[in-house]
Formats: sequence, structure tokens, C-alpha cells
Amino acid sequence: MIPENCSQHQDWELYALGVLEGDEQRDMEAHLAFGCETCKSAYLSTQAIVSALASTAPEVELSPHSEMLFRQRLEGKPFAVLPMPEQRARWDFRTFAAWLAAAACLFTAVGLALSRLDLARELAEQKRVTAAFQQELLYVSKTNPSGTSPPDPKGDPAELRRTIEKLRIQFKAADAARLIAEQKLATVQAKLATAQERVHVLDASMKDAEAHSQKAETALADLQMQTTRLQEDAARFQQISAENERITALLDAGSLSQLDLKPVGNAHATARVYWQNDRGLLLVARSLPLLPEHASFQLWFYRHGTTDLVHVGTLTVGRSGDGLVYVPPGPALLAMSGALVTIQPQAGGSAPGQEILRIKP
Amino acid sequence: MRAKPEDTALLEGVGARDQDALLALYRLYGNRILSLAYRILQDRSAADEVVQDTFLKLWQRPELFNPECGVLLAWLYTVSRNLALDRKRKKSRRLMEQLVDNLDFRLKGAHVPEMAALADPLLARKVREAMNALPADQRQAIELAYFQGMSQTEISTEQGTPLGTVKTRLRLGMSKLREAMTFTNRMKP
Repeated sequence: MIPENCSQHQDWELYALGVLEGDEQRDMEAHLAFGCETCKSAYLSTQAIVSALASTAPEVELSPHSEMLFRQRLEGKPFAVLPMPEQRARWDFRTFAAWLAAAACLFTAVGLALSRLDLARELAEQKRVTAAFQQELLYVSKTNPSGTSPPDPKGDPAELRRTIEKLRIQFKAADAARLIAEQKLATVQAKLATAQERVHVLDASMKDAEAHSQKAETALADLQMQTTRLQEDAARFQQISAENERITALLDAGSLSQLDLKPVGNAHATARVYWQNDRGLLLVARSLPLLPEHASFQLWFYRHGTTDLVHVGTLTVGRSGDGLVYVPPGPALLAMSGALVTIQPQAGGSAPGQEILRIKP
Repeated sequence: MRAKPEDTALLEGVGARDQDALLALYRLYGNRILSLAYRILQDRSAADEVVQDTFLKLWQRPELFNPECGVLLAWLYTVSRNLALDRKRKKSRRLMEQLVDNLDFRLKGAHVPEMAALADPLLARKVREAMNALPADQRQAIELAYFQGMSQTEISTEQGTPLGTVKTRLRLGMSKLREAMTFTNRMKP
């Protein structure tokens, strides 16, 4: 149940969504921080709804090797390229087997084609012989055995019959041989068709294997790019960790010096510096104003014994106007006699800009 | 509402530097975190990195989450949303930015909202249905705020409407979502 509206604020929904800016945001933060229970309760209940929005995102699943990559990052191992020996071996074996089978089919097809040619030639020969026999039969039926003149109807009929019978037998044998040759040819043609089909299937398989191989190579390239990015992140993270250790060491120091910076003019910001000469200095600021685009907050030290200013760092500002900067130990810190925070139109400007916080020497 | 017992046991493992416990949480919640990160970034590899960064944050600073105060998934959603929006704005996440946010967590008490919705699929479904039932301008305003991290001024520019109208749309939309969750809560035994 939503409590009655607080007389001062009704924007807990907008605050929970994170859309408030500048003074509105700071006012609500201060209001909640100073303990308006009405608004706090309303804010928490609204924050619950805001968090539920996360569950409305369409579902996406982690990839199968994401856990392995995360484990490597967790263990701080150098990011190795994911090995794919199985796929490679499988690709090689499949390719080799495909080529071998294709070669075998090709040889078979060539052999069968040659056999077919032989058979065709044999068939043609048989046909020629058959035609010759038929011609001879015709001729003999018209001529005497010597072949010099048309048969004499009054010649030896028995001899003629024997010759005709011999020719008929030879003709039948040739015809039978022709039939056998034709059958063999049909069988060879069928085998050739089967071999051609197998070659076609293997060709498709090879293309498929090539496509798989290309996909695997693309995935490998993607992973290598990811690995490079992760390595860059790891290097950046190591740098951040080193900085973290220095700041932690400073905050854990037994005796820290502390001083508040005073706002300058109409500035509402506040800041405090914590330092120890051999551990560095940390500045924490609150209620910093909104910056124009490309502007930044810069920290300067007054040099001891002078009014010279040395630029020592750029503040990092969080969402709610809080900011901080760490200065490592060194000559600048040793010679520090005061500090100044300014707004600079561009980072690293050579002269201090608008002053907002100061400890003057 | 406290963290679920199984989460508490795994979190104790994380605190004891047990990598398997962290990986178990990664397997439990990784898909949901990835879904949110991808919804914000629309970039698969960047979303994968946000998921890793989120769980690494839990690994490096387990004390940032207090199981007595809320549901782990809500915390993971909050962290991953911040990381995704920062990446979207191409801000470099130096340590000091993390420190500032960590200070926020510590100083403000790391309030993680009571979120039965996140553990209850029925309630989550109701929120999705309620979002889909909102008028387009209200739904868009809420999505721009939550998934794009836009301020009210940016939403006003995006939608081409006055600031006051944007505020009204957001309040009305949130009010309807609250009704849907409240009604579903009442329906639970």
C-alpha cells in the first residue's frame, strides 16, 4: 500500500527510475537521507517495481563456452584460444574420407565407362558379324558354295541345306552373344548411374563439410577477437587493481591527515582530503554541480612557500554529484601547502578555471 | 525478504573463495543477467562481458551484498544494469568510479528491494503483461528510462514532448504496474 503523499515530495517513482537530474535528484537524496519515512517507504516499494522491469527483457541464453571463458577470467589465466582438435580432426577425416570415396567412385566410373565402351565396341562388332552372316546367308542362298554365280536350282540341295544350317547356328550364336553383351551393357550403365549418384552425394557432403569448416573458422576468429578484448580488459583491470591497492593502503593507514576544503563563492559543494605523505592523497567531494559538456573538475596543489599551482589530477564524478581523485605519493604531495578544485573547460587545461573548493595556504 | 537459502549457501561459498560456488550462481542466474544486458546493449559480445563483470564484482566484493537485506537476483540486476548503461555511454570504468558506487552502496545501506517478483515467475509474467498493456507512450517512457538509462530531459527530447508530460507518463505507467503487482500479490495464497 502506498503511504499518503509527503507534503514535500511526490517524485519517488521518478527517483526510483533514475530519471531525476541535478537539483531535483539532490533534493530527493537529501530528503531520503534526512529520514522522511513516508518517502522512503514509497521509494522502496517503487524500487521493487523498477527491479521487476529487468525480468521483462526477452530471454537470451549463455553460449556453451561462456562458462569456460568466465572460469579462465576468474582464474586469471592467460586467455588461450579455444582448441578445437575434435572438429579439426573430424573435418580432416571427413575430407580425407570424402576425397578417397570420390576418387574410388571416379575410378569405378571411368572403369565402367571404359567397359561400356569395350562392350559397345564388342556389340558393334557382333552386329557387324551378324550382318555379315546375314549377307553371306543371303549370298549363299543365291549362289553356289564357290560363290561365283547364283545358285543353281538344280545344285546339291543337301550341301546347301548344311551350309544354311551352319550359318543359322552361327547367326544364333552371334545373336545370343549380342543379347548377352546388351545385358552386360545395361548392368554397367546401371552401375555407372549409381556411381554418378554417389559422386554427387559425396560432392554435396564435401560442400557441407567446407561450409562447416568455414563456420568453425569464423567462430574461431570471433573467439580470438574476444580473447584479445578480454586480454585488454585484463590489462586494464590489473592497472585498476594496482590503484585499488594503493587507495586501500591509504585508507587503512593508522594515522591519516584530514582537512575540509571550503566552497568558493556561491558553490554548494563540499570536499575533504585524506592523506599520508608516503601513501598518497584521496579527495572525496559531495554535491558537485552539473558540468557543461566536455568540462571536468581538476585538483591543484599550492606549492609550499609560493602561490604557484600544480595540476595533480582529474576528479571522477558519480551519478549523484559525488566525486573523488587519488594522488600518489611524490614531490607534488610533499610540497603541498593547500589545495584547489576548479572547473576546467577541457581536461588538463594549463591554468586554473572557475574555483569551487579550496584550502588556501 | 531475505535471500533464498540456496543462494545463501552459495554466497557463503563465494565469501570463502570457492570458485565452484560462484560458477553455480553464474549458471543459475547468468541467462537472466544476459537477457537484461542484451536488452540494453543490443550487442551480444558486450552483453557477455557485462555478465562476467557482474559476477566478478560479486567475487571481488561479496560484502557489497547482504543476504539479510534482499534477493541476490535483484542485486545482480542492479549491478548489471549499471554496468550495461555505463558501457552504453562508453564511460571508462576506472576504479574510482567503482569506489564511488561502492561508497553509495555502503553509505546508503545497500538497499535491495524486497523482490518476490524476481523469484516468482507468475509475478514476473504479470509485470510483462502489465507493461504490454500500457499505452505506447507510457511504456516507451518507462523503457527509455530503465533500459536506456535516459534522464527525464532526454526522454522529453526523444519523445518530443514537454518535460511535464514525460513525468506524468512515467507516474501513470508506474502506477499501473504497481496495481498489477499488488493484485497478483493478493492473489497468492
